[in-house]
Amino acid sequence: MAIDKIGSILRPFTALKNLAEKPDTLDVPRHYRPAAERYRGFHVNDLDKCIGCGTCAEICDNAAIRMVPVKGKEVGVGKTQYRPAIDYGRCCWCGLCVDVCTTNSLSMTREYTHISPDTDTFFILPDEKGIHEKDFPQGWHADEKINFLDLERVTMQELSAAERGDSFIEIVKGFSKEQAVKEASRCVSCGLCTATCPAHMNIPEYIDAIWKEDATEAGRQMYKTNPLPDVCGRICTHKCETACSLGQRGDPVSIRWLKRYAMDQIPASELNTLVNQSVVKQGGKKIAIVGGGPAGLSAAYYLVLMGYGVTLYEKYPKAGGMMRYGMPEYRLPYESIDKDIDFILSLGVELKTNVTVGKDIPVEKLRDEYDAVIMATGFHGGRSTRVPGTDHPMVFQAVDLLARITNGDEFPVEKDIVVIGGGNVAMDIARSLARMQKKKYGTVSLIVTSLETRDIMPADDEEIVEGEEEGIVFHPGRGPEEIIVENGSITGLKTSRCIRVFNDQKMFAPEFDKNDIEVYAAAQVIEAIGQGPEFDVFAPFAESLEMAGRRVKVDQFFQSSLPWLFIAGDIIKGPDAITGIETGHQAALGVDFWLGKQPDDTLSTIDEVLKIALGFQREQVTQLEAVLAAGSLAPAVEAETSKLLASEKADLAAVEALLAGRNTRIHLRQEMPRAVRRRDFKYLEAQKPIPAESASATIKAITEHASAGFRLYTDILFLTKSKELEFSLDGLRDHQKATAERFASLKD
Amino acid sequence: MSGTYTVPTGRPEAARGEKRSASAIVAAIAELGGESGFAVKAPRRVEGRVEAAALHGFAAALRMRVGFEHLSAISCVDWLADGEFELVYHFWSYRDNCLVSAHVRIPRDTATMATLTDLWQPASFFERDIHEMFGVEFLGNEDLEKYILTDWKGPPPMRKDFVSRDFAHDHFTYKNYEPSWDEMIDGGYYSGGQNGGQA
Amino acid sequence: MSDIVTINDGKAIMPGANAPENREYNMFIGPNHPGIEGNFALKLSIEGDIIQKAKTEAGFLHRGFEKLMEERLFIQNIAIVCRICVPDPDPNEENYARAIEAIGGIEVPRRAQFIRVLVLELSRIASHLFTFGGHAGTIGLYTMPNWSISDRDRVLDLFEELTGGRVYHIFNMPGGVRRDLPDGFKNRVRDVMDYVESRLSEYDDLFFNNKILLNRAVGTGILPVDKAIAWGATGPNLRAAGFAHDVRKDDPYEVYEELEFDVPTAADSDAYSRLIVRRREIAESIRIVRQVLDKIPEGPVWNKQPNPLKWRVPAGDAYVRTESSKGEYAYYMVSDGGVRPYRVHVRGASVTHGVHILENMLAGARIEDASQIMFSLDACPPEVDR
Repeated sequence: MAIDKIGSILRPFTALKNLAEKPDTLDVPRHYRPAAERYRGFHVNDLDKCIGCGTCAEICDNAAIRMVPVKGKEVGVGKTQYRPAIDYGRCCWCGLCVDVCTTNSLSMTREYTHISPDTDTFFILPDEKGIHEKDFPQGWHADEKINFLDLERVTMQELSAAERGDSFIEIVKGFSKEQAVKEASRCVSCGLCTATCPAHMNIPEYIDAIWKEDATEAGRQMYKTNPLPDVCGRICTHKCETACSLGQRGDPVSIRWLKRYAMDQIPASELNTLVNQSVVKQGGKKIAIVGGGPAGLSAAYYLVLMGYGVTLYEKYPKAGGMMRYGMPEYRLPYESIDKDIDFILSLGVELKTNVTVGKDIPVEKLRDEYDAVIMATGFHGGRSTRVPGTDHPMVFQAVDLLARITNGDEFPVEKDIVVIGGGNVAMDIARSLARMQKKKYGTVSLIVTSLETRDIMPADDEEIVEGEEEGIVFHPGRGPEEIIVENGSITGLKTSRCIRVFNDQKMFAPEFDKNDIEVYAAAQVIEAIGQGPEFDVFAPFAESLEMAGRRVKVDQFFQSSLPWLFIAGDIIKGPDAITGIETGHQAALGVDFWLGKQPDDTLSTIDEVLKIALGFQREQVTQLEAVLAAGSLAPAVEAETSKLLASEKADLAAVEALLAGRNTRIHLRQEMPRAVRRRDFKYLEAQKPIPAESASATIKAITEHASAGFRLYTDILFLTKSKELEFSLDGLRDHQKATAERFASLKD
Repeated sequence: MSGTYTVPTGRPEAARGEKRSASAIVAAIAELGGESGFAVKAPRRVEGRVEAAALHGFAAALRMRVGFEHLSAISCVDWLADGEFELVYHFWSYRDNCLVSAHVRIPRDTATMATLTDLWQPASFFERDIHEMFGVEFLGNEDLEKYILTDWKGPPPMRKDFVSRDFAHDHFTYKNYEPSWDEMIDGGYYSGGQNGGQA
Repeated sequence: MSDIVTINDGKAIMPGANAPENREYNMFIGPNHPGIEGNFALKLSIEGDIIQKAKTEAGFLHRGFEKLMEERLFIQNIAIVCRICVPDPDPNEENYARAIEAIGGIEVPRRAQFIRVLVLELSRIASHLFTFGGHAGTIGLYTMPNWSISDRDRVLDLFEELTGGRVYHIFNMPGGVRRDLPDGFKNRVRDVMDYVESRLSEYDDLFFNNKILLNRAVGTGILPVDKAIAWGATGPNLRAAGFAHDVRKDDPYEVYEELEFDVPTAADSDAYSRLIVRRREIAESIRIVRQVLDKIPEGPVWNKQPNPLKWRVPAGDAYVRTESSKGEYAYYMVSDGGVRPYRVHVRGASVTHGVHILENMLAGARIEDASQIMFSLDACPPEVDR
């Protein structure tokens, strides 16, 4: 060691030897010193790759990122027009936004400085070029080995092919609690799913509730826009999952299975706690709904909650439509359908089964007896390929057979079967028949052939994979030529290779190579190439009813040119269950607007919603003051109540502050992510005066108020992506929840 | 630092000697009184509860009889829902290389506690800090003046019921920008339409 | 020292005026002063050149970090904790990550543990170089700051390459570190270590054996060992008094147990001893860094944690300690099982050194030594203010 503690005034002069050294300082800024390859410089964003999910703004710890709507950006499935704008007055260059980016569109440059007297230049909308419009090399960027996001979904447990091959027991086992919470925790709450879902379900909201292990809250969120969540949790076409931002780099969140999980936790007896509005009688007005499928049931649910008398006409012995008569049980057990439907009926919907409107009862009669009629008759007509031989009795329509399976009717199941079609209905009938073959013959001999090749088959991929596991043989890309009939019996299906299904205009125009012929042996042929409406029911109004192409012309509320007639379900949009539910909901609202002369009470800004919260808080304070003024409370309850009054006053001030802006404006995105109506907050009307007579009544009323308040703030919380609001609302919400819990535990 | 107390400066006899195991320390603590539930939580970490009234005696005995010479920190946690503050005293033994964390709960509305400045001078800063940030009174500590927030008029800010965001909204303004890319924004985000007319 | 204001009962003392009746007068150093790391004020009562009483004033750097942390998601806090201490930010990141890992039972891959040690030791070297410059500045030796701060920049270059940031690294994450070592990084670390090592002997010539330093620092600011312990001194300040306590040895974390290094001590416990202990610690840190580079295993650098936006840490608490360049640096964290920490208490190493140890040591010292004593304790005001 060279430290001798002797010290010398001469030794420092050894530093003079450095005089001859070349200095290693750089002449900055004339000389550009490249920053390190990972340097966290300024943001760059691939504006076309970016989908505007806003996850970067969510994770930003300084609220430096604001999502702004950029002109001309494509909006569609899984895409918004919003792009992140970055405020370098707030940014701390941590790069968390880059690490959490769902698309990897965000990264940072290798620049050190931005100097400008103009502060506006510190607020940028980054594009590929970055703050200085120069091509600085890329710095901090996503590392494929280190993913903040959970890109892999929780595997769903299913029955194995051997277990399920000969039975109609539901294949999917459902999530356990741990699995559901894990899967729910993957969600980044971007809301792209809500925009894509035909019914605009509150998906981030219910996923968040599942993550918080609050299935009841999840169910309540679902019932807002979908009264058939149990069914949808099993068979929904889950377009939401194609929009999921996590799907950009990994697996989308299993939204459908999460929905199923939440509904499985709620017993049928508790479904009534999920209803979001109290019934207001509409002066005895009566509505007839034709068709007990998803659309009809959905319309019935929302109408009966609005206080209308609802009668549902169903031609089959049970309500459910295609859910019951078109879906095989291994996908959708009858108990699930019954659970949803029984609940809707329990609200006071009158169901008339085995009645075919137009045959057993004329439509005119409904028109005269009811104030409005909603027609939701669905797609029950199977289409035929019309190739030679289709008139043979052993040629069946898939939809007919599926209905017969549900009804338990006998029909022949041959040893060799061919199914024509590549959609989900084809899969349903093929897999059902495979099960019956296995049961009857111990082996499966079933061929599915479709025009579409494997890559463009419209059926869900898992359906095809599972079908293969169950022994079904697929011959995709083949068009039917002829059903070969010898001696009165079918012996096979002759097919040719399909060169392409769609022409350049993307119109359906299949072309075939007639030299490439294959024959599949079969004694029975099922056609499953699509279904269509049966318009017989409209025959009496053929002249007065305006059509738009092959569909009835309707306005935005599904009201036809005959004002009393509303249309919903597959015959107007779709076809699928979730779209049917949405059209039913909209038709119900349309009926209410038309009959109830309800004003359009759509809330279009966050402020309008905050005003509702303000009203709630004012009412709370007034009522608590009144109860305390009465002076008849038990001491313990009084102490709790006056404590509550003080905190409710603070909450009132907090809401007032939010509304007054107080500099939050610049962060408050006023536009609403989806349509919200004033009546969606009807549950607040249950806020009756708090009785002071008995302690138990007081406690009960306060508990109910706080529960309503908790709902209110939960609702508002998800209507905004504003950080400022989120923080304040979180506190308000937690407070209401704590109040409800505390008063619920109070003993009188 | 001001004050009339005399801080012990000599090293206690108990601080010398062979290193003891964490479980031996738990056994030694069990004889001090006022404590409950002391156990080994992790390697070199012992934790338990002490009654508020017994804390000073416990700490003195821990220092003099068990030989914990170093007061590493005093932490305070506001359990608003329970109406309590939790004071956590972290003691370190140079002899045993072990940390003892003593958890003390005191009521939130009458938050007082005996000072430890007569045993450890470093307690002075921690207590003053907790007094300033949480409003806990430390009886016997003569130096509880404001330190960090000299000009602060509001409630003790680290209490859970002090909402700093509201304070920020009331006292500070956000920077507003008029960026050049405003024209790229649908409807002119800052110059009109979408932001409520607020530039 | 141009910014010293001399007042007596609010009136400035004019040069040449008669000494007032009351021989004691007040003097303020700071809050802006080149002899202080950051902003901090000393209020001194002086008689002649001798300080009678010293009071510290803090709060100039208070940013409410503890409160901020309660309002941010667990992941978001990794970006702000480093800002508590500018010269040595990494013990904050280390403590924050380790507290969550202790509460949540999260394991850290071995490679990540080695990288964390590497980062911590580089940070220690950078911080000590910073202190040498500051200390030399307080006694008017202005070549040393130029040297040591520019040599520190070489370490910052390494940080920039590894972590993406020069001063604030935001690199430790609960469960590991944010990125693996870049290609060829080890060699560049070795080069910089060789360079810093070669500079140490030049520092000796320029500074540590400089007669001016010896005259000023030897025997100045003596802190006897029993007082050091009683007043809560830790780190190099305690070791300079001959008491070999080091959190890395006595409460080991990460992989320090597997690494060989000595704990340098000194006997005299004056300003010079404290400097020399730090000077020797740089050599030990270089030794540790070289071992890390040799021993670091292959493997992942981060244990995947849940989606950061929906990440709950189980309810519980933990007290974690790290040996920072300034002494014992501890975090007490409480989680209530939510997505944000319920409470984080930051126990900076300087809360003892910078407040009452400094106040005690200044009493009886000469005014020209006040800055030097403060720098010799390496007290970092932002750790006090938080």
